[in-house]
Amino acid sequence: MDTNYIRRRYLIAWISDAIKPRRDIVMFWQLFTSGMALGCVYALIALGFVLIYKATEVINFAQGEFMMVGAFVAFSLIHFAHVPFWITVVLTLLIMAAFGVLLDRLVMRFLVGEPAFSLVMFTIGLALFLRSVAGMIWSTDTFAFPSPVSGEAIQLGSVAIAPGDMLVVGATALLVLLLYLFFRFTNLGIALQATSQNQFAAYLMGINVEGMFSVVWALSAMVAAVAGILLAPTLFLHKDMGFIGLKAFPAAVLGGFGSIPGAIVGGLIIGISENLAGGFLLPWVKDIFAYLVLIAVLIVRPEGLFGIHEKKKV
Amino acid sequence: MKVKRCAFCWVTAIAFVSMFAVLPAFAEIGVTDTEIKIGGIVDLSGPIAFMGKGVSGGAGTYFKMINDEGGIDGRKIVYLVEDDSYSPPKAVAAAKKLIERDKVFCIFMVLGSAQSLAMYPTLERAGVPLIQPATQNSRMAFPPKKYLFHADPNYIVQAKIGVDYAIKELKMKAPKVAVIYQDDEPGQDYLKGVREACEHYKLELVAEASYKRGTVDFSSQVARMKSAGADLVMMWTLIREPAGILKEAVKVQWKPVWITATPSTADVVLKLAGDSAFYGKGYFGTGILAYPWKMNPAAARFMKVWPKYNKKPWGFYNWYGWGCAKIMVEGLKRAGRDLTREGLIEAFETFANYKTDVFGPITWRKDKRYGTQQTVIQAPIKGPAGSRWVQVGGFRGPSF
Repeated sequence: MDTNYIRRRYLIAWISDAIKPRRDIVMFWQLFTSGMALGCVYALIALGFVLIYKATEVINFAQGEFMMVGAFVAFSLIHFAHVPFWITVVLTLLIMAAFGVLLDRLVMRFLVGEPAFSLVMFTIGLALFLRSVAGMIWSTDTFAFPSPVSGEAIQLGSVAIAPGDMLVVGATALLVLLLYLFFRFTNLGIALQATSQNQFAAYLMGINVEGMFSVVWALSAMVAAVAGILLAPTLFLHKDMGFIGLKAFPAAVLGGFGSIPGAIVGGLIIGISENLAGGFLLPWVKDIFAYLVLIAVLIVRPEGLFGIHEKKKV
Repeated sequence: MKVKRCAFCWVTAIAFVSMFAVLPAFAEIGVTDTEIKIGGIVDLSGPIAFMGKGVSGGAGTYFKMINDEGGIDGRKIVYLVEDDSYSPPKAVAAAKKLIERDKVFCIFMVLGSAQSLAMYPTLERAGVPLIQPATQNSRMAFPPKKYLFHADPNYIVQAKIGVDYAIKELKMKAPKVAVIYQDDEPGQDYLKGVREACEHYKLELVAEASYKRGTVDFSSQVARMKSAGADLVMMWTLIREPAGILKEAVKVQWKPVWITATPSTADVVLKLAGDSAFYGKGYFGTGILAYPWKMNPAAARFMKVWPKYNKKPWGFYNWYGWGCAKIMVEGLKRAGRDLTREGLIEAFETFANYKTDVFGPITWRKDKRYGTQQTVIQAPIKGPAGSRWVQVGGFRGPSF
């Protein structure tokens, strides 16, 4: 059979398929809801980027790997120690908090004041390190992660929403609310805000700045662990799952690196828009759409959606 | 002084010549009177490490068994395995190491088509045969390459067999076909096969969905295929992706017939997919291997020998490696006692419908480097120890 003929025929079909207007409202909402669930996970990882960056001015490229480690810790507790799910969540958060503190105390503390380039290289190295160690401990296989919710999808009109997706959205909303209350109403939260606004002034006001660094590393490791536990039931558990951080990074930049609401909105925008683009435009656009959105936003508004144009005074 | 230097030259020259003279006339690199060195390159630490460990473990077991039975013409097989973490540049480096430092006789079983193609020029220059790359890429055997022998049916053929099966055996009447594939070379092969099959049967190919390697979310791809009204989905995927796609289909309550290519016919896919593997109107795979429980003598021997050398239970990829090793050993046997690389190539060219009982019957000639075009059809069943794939039909080739 003439392969070239077939290729030509399908090329024409493919182009007409791409430009054909689609008025499938069910598909739109279906893509919207599942995009929102994935967007929440992007948002949580982006949140981790932002928390650390605001307080310590380090861009932690190992944030995705924090998520992977958190998910594997939870998996080990459930699978090998047979701990019930909700206790596992609490234990995982504590373990990851300890992990964050230790990382800060043992390593990051000695890198304070080093050039930004060294810090970036360090976190990239850390990501590689965590991936390799995870491969050694938990093997390079893929595991199924138990979901806390199960059952049939819930029908909203003709749109089906999976209980897992609802859990992801709900948990993210709850976490964001808790973080808001924490930063707004607790002394620790206010001290953290002060540190991220002006380290020197915070230090003069009697805030333990170094202690705040540890807290923020712990906090972002915990947020990453939540993201991992939410992501793993639908998208499985393996040592390379941290690569999703590559999608979360544009989300953080999109929201204005350094803005917490920006990270959430950025994550949701990326998650939803790439899903819609993949469904309604060309299928392969989905994989690059996050970066297209990012470039577009950076051209129009270089400081990001929620970013404040800051000038450093020396 | 002049005499002295001249004498020195003579001594050097004689020493130099005698160095070659003591070597036996027919000896080939990597072959001694007691052993044959074979090099393998697989992924032991990367994304498909379980495949690499599986196939090399299976082949290693077969070689151990042959060695314990006395070897081939009194020579034992030494199987050296290198790790490339599924990276073509590392695979090329590993091939160079095996050829130059370890001095292997031939390369056997390289996991991955990009890896095999990347190292092929190096092998050709050195005159080292590459036997049975563990991939189903069509470029392995098309066009035929002198130093490369490939047994597996490629993905173009597999797509045709899959559509054949849906029309002829499942009796689907003018199904609307969708295809989802990983956007790389093997995926493109599969797409090509599906297109040709649709052309042949005059079927409507309503959706072509693709994804990049490493994609974790398939909601837009599934929504697209569902919205196009597809009822037969042809898929070229690896391990995590089919489970993700099947789960997504459950989520949006869509029940097509799924037919998948070989890489996804592993039990780990079913473990990840859980009940979603049984949600649709059927889930089938074109398998390149006779699956052991369809009893045949080779399988019986495999299952008997396996526990002698291994503590872990056997799996699909072990069985694949076993089959490849069987082909390798048959070639070495046919090449005879005076083993040379060129002799090995001639020996493989004598394969005519050679039955391994693992792969379909294998034929290689001077101008034909693909071994077989036949696959079996597999389907998952639920068992006491989780779901597993079983064979539901014998070896069949494409009907067009």
